Amino acid sequence: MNVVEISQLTYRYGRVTALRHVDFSVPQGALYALLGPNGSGKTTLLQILAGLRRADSGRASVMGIPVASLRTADRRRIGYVAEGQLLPGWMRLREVEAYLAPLYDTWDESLARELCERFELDPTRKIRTLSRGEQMKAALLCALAPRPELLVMDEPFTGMDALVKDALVRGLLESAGSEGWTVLACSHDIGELELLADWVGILDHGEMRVSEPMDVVRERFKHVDVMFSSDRAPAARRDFLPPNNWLSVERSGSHVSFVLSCAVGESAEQMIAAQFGGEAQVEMRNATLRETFVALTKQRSGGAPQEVAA
Amino acid sequence: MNWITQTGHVAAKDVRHTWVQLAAYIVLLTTTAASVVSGRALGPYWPTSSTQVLGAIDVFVIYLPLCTILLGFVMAASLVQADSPTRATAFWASRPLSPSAVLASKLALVFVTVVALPLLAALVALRSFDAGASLTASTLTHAAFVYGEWLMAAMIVAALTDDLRTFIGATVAILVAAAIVLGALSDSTPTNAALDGGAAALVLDIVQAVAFAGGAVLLAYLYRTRQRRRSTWVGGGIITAVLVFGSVASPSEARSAPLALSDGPPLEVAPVDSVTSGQPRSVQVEVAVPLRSDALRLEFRPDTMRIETRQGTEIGRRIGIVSRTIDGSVLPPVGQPVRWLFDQATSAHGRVTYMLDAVEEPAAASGITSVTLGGVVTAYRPHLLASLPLRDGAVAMSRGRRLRIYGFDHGRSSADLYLQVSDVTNGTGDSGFGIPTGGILQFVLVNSARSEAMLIGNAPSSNASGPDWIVLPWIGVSNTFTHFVTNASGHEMLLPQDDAWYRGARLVVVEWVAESRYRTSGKMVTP
Repeated sequence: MNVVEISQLTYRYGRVTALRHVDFSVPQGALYALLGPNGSGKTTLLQILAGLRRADSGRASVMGIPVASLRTADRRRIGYVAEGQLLPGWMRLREVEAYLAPLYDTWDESLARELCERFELDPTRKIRTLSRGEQMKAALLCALAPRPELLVMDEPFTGMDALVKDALVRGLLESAGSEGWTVLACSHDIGELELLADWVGILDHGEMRVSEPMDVVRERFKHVDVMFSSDRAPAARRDFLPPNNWLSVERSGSHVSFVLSCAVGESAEQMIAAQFGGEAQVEMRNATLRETFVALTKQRSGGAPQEVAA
Repeated sequence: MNWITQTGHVAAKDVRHTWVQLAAYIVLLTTTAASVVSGRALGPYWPTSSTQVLGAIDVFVIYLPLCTILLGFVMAASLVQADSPTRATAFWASRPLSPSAVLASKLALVFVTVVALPLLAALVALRSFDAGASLTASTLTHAAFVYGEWLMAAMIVAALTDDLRTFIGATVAILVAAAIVLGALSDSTPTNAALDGGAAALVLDIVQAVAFAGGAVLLAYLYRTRQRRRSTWVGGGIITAVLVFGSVASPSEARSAPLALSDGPPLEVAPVDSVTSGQPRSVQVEVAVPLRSDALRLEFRPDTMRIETRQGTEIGRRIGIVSRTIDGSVLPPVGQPVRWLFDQATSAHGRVTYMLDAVEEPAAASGITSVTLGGVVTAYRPHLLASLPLRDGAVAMSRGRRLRIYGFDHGRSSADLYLQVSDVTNGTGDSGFGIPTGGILQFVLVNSARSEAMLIGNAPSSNASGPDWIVLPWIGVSNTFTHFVTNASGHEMLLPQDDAWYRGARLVVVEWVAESRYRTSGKMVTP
């Protein structure tokens, strides 16, 4: 069962189309990493899922319920954390907790206390006196304490130091595993998300480029280094037009590197062997999520093969 | 949590959020109401030991009411923006809160605290004028309605803006624009005749009620959809404009239902000394209008005059501005049979002067054969309003008025009384000089032990201030400071010659309340 279902979703800010016919789904229990460059529409997409915006067209449903029809009781099952989310700065953290707790049947006081300790938050401090990172921790605490079935996080690691990020990621992994939570998160911190996620989606210029399990993405995108015996080899020449599935191509003399995009079921090894035969020394590995992300978004923005100084 | 408990939950949070503003609001209201109840706000006051100012203290009757509504706007905006309906980053938006419950909590707080608290303060203040239930209810209802309109407009602006600073900027811009537009409208239309009359007032009331309901619907839409699109801006702008302009353009005079106009007996019109006199361009027509009644005070307000000339032409027109009315007054009842020290019944005659224009002058110069005068007679019945001891500082409250003697002196040939009358019977505070609009006041010095009385009248140095405000700018009070003297010119010997008369005397105030009106006319034929 999919906890999130998005179909042909379009959203416009005036004349600017922020999301264009987006389709994707998030299975129950998945830790879904939504990646995308600035302005790609990630925040808008998550806001639509949280019911904060209404799409111009298309369908969005959460836990089988269209977002526009979500009732108060349904919202109790969704946690939402976002960078820039306005917490009531005049309240102390414990007052925020006291305000929110009666709204949720599932509010877990002991989890709230535990998170407070783990995040090293002082519940007696007013929210406006907290640092940016501390405010994000407070927001996370408020979103996690009700034990939501779906947790939507928009840049949850903003302002956090590495130790806290690690603790958070570990905590989320534990909780998600034990509680069966579904987590949908977007962040610029691809490294952290790679640790966290078992599904990944890449949104670029309002269009969903990839939405697949992390394992599949690792299998489909390979980082390939090719060393030719001579810089006169056809693929090493400047006028060589790389195939469409060569992404993020870089050349340096007789050395060419790129991210190879394979279709599901295609064998990268066979493709490389067919392309180069024995004329070159080829090293191939699974591309990192960062390499895949950069390759896909650079291709969309028209990035030409780059010459790298030897 | 069900809907009602959610509403209360959000409201309780908002009360904690705005408690400083709320406390300041209560302090403002308490200060204003207390200053009115104590009489300090309405003056007269003494800035220095030797200087007396005949007027209210502006701080209490202008600036604090203004501060009250400005703080009210800020409170309404703070309440709305604490859980903004249009900001996707708003804290409440991703919580399991019903949008309608959040809106209901905002509306409840605005209309229960921001509106009701000043009304409560005003109620206390009006009680100090002995305002009756009907007067109090109508005054407070009007104030609540107008303030509610302004606050609804403020809530819409707050919903469409992101923070308090933007709200204040937008509000200032709206007020400046409203002032400019209203100024332009008042320059282009000399009178607001189109708005006069009960029908116009009703239409205006309906339009404003629709705008108010539209404002509530818009807020509900914004809280539900969280969309701030062009259509919501346009809708918000239109509703705000109607609410602001509607409340300002409200013709208050049209809201007081006038007495029904019936037909009455014909008017006697008699010549005075001469029908025409003077040079061309200053020809005047003078007629006398005798008005008689044994128990009622009659007032004639002329509105048409038709003049027939010896040339056979007819000059006639509607009299637009009536500079004076003609009173046929009788001596007022003062609660006991008394002997009037000297006859001060005002003349039962009056004169109506008709200024001829350049076109009419040649025809009138040939001679006038007849003058027909038409107008409305209003009959007033007396009511004993108040009786207070004849001494400095004496105060009496009655039927929406507070009367205070702030000076009394007498000699053998005259007596001087200084009386402050603060009047809330009009609501807008727009009172005629010396004659509060609730009715015509008449002042009598009465010595009950000796069963003697004499009328006192205005001295030329009388003074009026206002209109001022009580608690809110829509609750007006007119404040007059009148120097009364005994009108005993030529009869000084008839005045009391001993101090004891004045020591035992009281000031009795009689209010002449309009009872009926009738249209009448009369014709005078010149010899």
